[in-house]
Formats: sequence, structure tokens, C-alpha cells
Amino acid sequence: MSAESEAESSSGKSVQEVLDALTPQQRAKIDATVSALFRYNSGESGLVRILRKLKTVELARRLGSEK
Amino acid sequence: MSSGEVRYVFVNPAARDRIEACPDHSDLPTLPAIFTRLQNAIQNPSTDAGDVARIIENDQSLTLRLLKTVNSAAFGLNSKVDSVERAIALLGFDEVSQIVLAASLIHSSPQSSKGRPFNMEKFWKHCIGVGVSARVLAQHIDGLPKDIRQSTFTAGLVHDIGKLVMLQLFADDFARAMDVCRMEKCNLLSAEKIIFDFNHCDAGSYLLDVWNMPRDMVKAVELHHSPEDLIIEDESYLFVALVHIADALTHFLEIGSGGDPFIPEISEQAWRTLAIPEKDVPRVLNTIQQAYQEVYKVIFS
Repeated sequence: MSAESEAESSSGKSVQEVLDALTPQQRAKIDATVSALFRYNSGESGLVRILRKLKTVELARRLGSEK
Repeated sequence: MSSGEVRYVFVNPAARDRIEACPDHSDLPTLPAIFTRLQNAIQNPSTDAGDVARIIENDQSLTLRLLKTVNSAAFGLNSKVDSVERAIALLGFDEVSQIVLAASLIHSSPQSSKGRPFNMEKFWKHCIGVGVSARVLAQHIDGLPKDIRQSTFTAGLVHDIGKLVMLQLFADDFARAMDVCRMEKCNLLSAEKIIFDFNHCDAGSYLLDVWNMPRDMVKAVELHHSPEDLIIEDESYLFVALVHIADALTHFLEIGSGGDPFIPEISEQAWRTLAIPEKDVPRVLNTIQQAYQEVYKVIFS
């Protein structure tokens, strides 16, 4: 099981479901936040890729729970 | 990795010269006295676990902090540790004395930011977070040598101690570096280099060298932002890589703050060297968060 899919199973909703529920504006805002946080990590491999994905899902879930 | 080794001689000369020329040089953080007593006792061949335990047990509050720390998820022990002697039997003299150092360092260090916009509470939270992260990562690395494992918590805890050196000795310049960091939206490391011509890694490795700490720990502090400055075959590489990744994960989890709002550059080679499976990352992060909550309460109680 990948890091991303394990993150899915711990919360009930799949990563894709969480991301699909976002409006384009919300998704753009999250992407900008994640990009700023990882500004010194341009690569998309290994740990950076996993952490970016986990942060994206975390922010999406936070937005979801604020609704 | 004993502390009786030859001193590490590659500390950045720019950092060494400026720190030693500072009129406030005597304000440098000092090693807690109990750690020095423990080191002296451990180096005596006739010392046994009971002797070391008695030194620690003279300080009840420290004993409590030690036992609670050892029983936290950071150490992943299967049975409850209810005495200092038991902790020594399970972890060894060196790791117990390192935990004592960590548990007493925060209380013996200056708590004032000298009126500068540097949040000491968040700083120590970040340091504890990196100590915990390093120790948790160590649990997930198969076949990690004991001498590396037993120094991970302390190395994580002191990885940013150079910021404390800079704040104590050069408060105005350090505040300027923080301003540059904020205004230019760059990382603190680059801002420090602009203002000081050295950075907190250099200042921290200088202090640990003065403290005569193990060479691997000095290297880990010096290179925690640049593990690629070591060749992968270097005997200290794994230890340096572990502290580097622990720092990144602590930033990711937003545990405290070392004054830098961004996740530092992560070395892919350092991550690969730890050989932790991708699927374990969420579990590692959860364990770090749980262990951090336990250890933070203990150390600040």
C-alpha cells in the first residue's frame, strides 16, 4: 500500500474523493499554499512527493471540515 | 560514539573567530553540570549502573522527566521502565546520559530572546520535535548501529542550538537576519549567511565542539541542512541524514518553529539512505506526533 492510499484508509474518504470535492478555486489555493511551503523543494520524487500529497490532502480535509 | 574523542577540528573558522572575539563570549550556553558529572562517572571503569542511577536520582524532577521520556512512544520500549537502573539496563549509560542532557538542557539554557522577535517556546518545541522525530526514525531503520541510535534524540534536540548562540551573542545581527528572511522571503540559513558570513549550523557545531560532544553529533549539527557535503561512504553519513530528515518532518508537521516558515530543502539521497518504505511514512508521522505530545509535556512540566 502506498503512503497516499494509507492516508486515504485512515479517514474514510479516499484521497480522490476529497480532492474531487474541491472547487477549482479551492484547489488552486491549496496548490499555492503547498508550493509556497515546499518552495525549496522543486523535485517531485521520493519523500517530497509523498509529503506534498499528504499536505494537499490535509489542507483539503481541513477545508472540507470547515464547510 | 563516546565523548572522549579527539575534538572535531573542521568548524567554520569564520564562526569560530567571530564567536571567540565576542565580548559576551562567556554568555555561551553551558553544558548542564549533571551531564558533566555523569560523563566523568561513566568514564571511570569501576562505575556501575547503581552509581550512575544515584547521580541522576539526586534530582527527583530530572529523574521523573527521564523516566517519562524513556516510557514515551519515541523510544518504543515494550515494557514500562520504572527505575533509572532499569533505563540504564535497557538503553545503556550513553543514551541515558544523553537523555539527561536533553531533559536538563532546556531548563538550564537562557529563556529570553533578549527582546528580539524570536519565539523561544516555539524554538524549543521545534527542537524537541526534531529530537523525537530522529528517535522515531531510528526505530524504523533496520540494523541501525546502537551507537547511532542512542545519540539520535540529543542530536535532534541540539541541531539548531547555533541559533541560540547567535541570539545570545549577536542579538541585533540575528534580528537583522530574521528581518531579511521575512522581507526577502528567503530561508533563515541564507539570511544568516548574508549577515554573518556563517550560519547557525556553523555556530552550533562550534558550541558542540567546545562542549567536547561526540564527533558525529558535531557533524550532524554542522551538516543538518547540507548532508550532501558528506560523501555517502562517510561513517557519519547515516547519522547526518537521519537528523536532516527529522528536521524536515518536524517542519512538515508544523511542530514549533525554528524561525523559518518553509520546509527546508530535503536531500533525496539522505531520504533514500534511511531506506524507510514509502508506505510507512504516514505511520512514522503519526508516531512522531504522539511521541512529541508525550515528551513535550514531560520536558516542560
